[in-house]
Formats: sequence, structure tokens, C-alpha cells
Amino acid sequence: MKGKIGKNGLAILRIQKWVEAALWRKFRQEGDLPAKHALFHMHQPLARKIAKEYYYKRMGQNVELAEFEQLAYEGLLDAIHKFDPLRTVPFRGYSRRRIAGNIADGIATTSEVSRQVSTRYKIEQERLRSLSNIARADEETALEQLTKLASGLAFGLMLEGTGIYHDDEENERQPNAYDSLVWKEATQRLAEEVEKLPRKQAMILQQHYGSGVNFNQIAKLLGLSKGRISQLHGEALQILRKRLGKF
Amino acid sequence: MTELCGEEEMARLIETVQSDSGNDVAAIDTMLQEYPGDPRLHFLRGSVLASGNRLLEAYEAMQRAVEIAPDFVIARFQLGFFELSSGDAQSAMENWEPLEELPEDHYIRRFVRGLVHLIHDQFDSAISELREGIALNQENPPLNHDMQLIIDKTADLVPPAGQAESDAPAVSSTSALLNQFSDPKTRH
Repeated sequence: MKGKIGKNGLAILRIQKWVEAALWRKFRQEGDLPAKHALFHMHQPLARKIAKEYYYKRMGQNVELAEFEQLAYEGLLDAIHKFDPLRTVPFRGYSRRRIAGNIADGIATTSEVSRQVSTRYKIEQERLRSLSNIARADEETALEQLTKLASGLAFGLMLEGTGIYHDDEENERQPNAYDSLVWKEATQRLAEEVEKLPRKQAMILQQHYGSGVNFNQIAKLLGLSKGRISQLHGEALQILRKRLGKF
Repeated sequence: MTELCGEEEMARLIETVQSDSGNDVAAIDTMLQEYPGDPRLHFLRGSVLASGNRLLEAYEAMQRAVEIAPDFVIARFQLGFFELSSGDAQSAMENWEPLEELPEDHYIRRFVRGLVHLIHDQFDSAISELREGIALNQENPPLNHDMQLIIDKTADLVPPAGQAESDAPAVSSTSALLNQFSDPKTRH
């Protein structure tokens, strides 16, 4: 019974509802964190969809979509923690109420303008701090250090701009001026290199750049501290920089 | 030694379960209070729960049946199949390992081999083993029907000569396996 497990044969046998049930069992009964992450990933499109619904309802009120998404993810995480899979209620309906509730509460509690300013700013500051904390080699000059920082940020922008992790149709990007052959090749290589990263680092990049999940929520998702997520994020971008240094 | 529920009682229970469309396990639970160590009752319970989409409890019941009776071939086979349907090929193969000891002409052994080939994307070998299993299986016709469905789906995956394989859509031929849960008589 040895050999590499393929995808196509198993796909014949797989039933989505059973796959999800197995994830709930592993997460609830064995505390399996990859199962929790898979559940989060599985239901992320719903969270994004609800965030968009609320965003369009409140257009013109100076609240950015990213803020709605953060609140939606927070609601989803909360739902994953509190859901009882032995109840006959489907998770989708249960989480929809929690996600919508969290968005409504979150938007109401803080001044909209200040949130708008702070969300984007906080995300950018988190990234910058993460990269700044990478240990500097003794012989490194300030310029080399700055180059490292800049290339780390550049990879972040690439990861964010490509939409390579979004697998739901609603987020399909329209071609733009950057979608040249060179850009596509570069992002493809980047995606391949991300796949080769250690599991946790790949998951962090996937969630942060692919879905805009902030470090705080990724920390809750992976059961690690926010500081550790920041550190792993910084290290991951440095690894990418080394491997793709000729970009 | 663990006391087992009598054949007549078991037949009556199966009849009750079959006539009950609500996937109710109350009758089985009552019987389990009297015979908690009867693996057939746990397996039956798992089958009924699975057909009612109570999948977490169904899995536990199936697992319990195999824990109590490691040689309960059909329960072990179905437990592995449950895991495959849940996308957990590794656990399925671990649970199926003892079934490799079955005689060469046992249909379950052929089905296991066929399915293991399938999850390794070895489609021709998978089809051939599953066909041999069907030819050997006289005692469990619903299982033959389900394996035939899997063969048909697998045949769709085998690319015509000279063509690359296309992305196969996920199909749920295994859902047909649930049909045999509704006919538990065939399991014993």
C-alpha cells in the first residue's frame, strides 16, 4: 500500500460533506490545527461574500472593504470555535449569522473614519515591523539592510497583487497593465516557491496576502502568538528573497 | 466472553431499522444497552447514522465496531471507505492493512487493492482489480453495484490515447454506498 497518493482517483471517492465532517472531528476531538485552518479556508469565501454585501450596503460611508473583511473573518473564527458539529444545524447557516452579527457590531462600535484609516495602516505597520525585526548580519551595511527590507515588501506587494490564492470566482481579477508575460512568470515562480515553504509560513502568506487576514487573526487560527506570526512572516519573505534574488 | 445479540433479535432489529424512514437509532441504542459489546450493533448504528448524515457519530460507531472485532471484515472495509470518502486516504490504508491477509480470492481483498490503486491514480490496475472483485462477490450485491459505479467513473478518468488527462470533476459515486447502508441485511 505504498506510493504517492494522487488527486484524481481520490476525487472520485471524496464527498465534500464527509470531508468537512472529518475536519470537524479532527479539530474538535483531537485539537488538530491544520483541520481548523482547513475549515477556515473552506468557509472564507462565505465570509468575504457577506463582507462585500455589507460593504455595498454602506457605500459612501468611508468604511473600506478590508475593514468589513477583518470583521467577517473574526466572526468566522468565532463561529468555528463555538459551533457544535453534533448539532444538526449546518455550519454555513450558523456562521452566516455570527459573521453578519460581528460585522454589524464591529462597525457600530468604532468611529468609521478612524477605522478606515487604521485598518490599512495597521496591516502595513504589521508587515513593516515583521521585516524590520529580522536579525541583521554583522557585516551588513545599512544599505544592504534597507535593500532586504525593500525586497521583502516588494514580494509582499506581489503576493497581494496577483490574487494567486483566491480560488473563488467572485474575486477573479481583470487583466491590467501589469499582466504581462514577465509579470505572470514572476508571480508563478513566486507561488511555486511559497508552496515549498514550511507549512506554517505558507499558510501565513496565503491567509495574509491571499485573503487579507491580519496577524492577530492568523495567530488565533494557528494557535500561536501574534509576535510569532510576525516573525514567521518576516522569515518567509526573507526566504523568498534569497531564493528568488534574481527577480 | 461478550454476549452477542441473538440472530432472531438481530433480524427483527434490522427489519425495524429498514422500515423506519427517519434514520432513527433509538431501537439500536436500546439493544446496545443490553449487548454493548456486539460489534454488529455498532456497525449497524454507524450505517444508519451515516445515511442520516450524522457523520461524526457514524464514524465513531464504525470505529467502535472494528475496535471490538478487528476481524469484522465488512466493518473494517466500510470504515476505510468512510475515511476515503472523507478525503483521508492515509487512515483508510492503515485500516485496510489487515485485509491484505485475506485469501487471494476474497472479493474484499480485490476491492481494497482496486481502491488503493485508484487513490494512487493507477487507473487501469484499479479497474482490473475492482472487476475481479465483482466477479468473486456473490454475497453482497449492493457492494458490486457501487464498485461498478466507481469503475465507470474511473474509466472516465483514463485519457484516450495521445491525450493528456483533463481535470476530473469531483463525483460522489461513493454516495451510492449509502444505499447499502439502507440494506443492512447484506452486511452480515
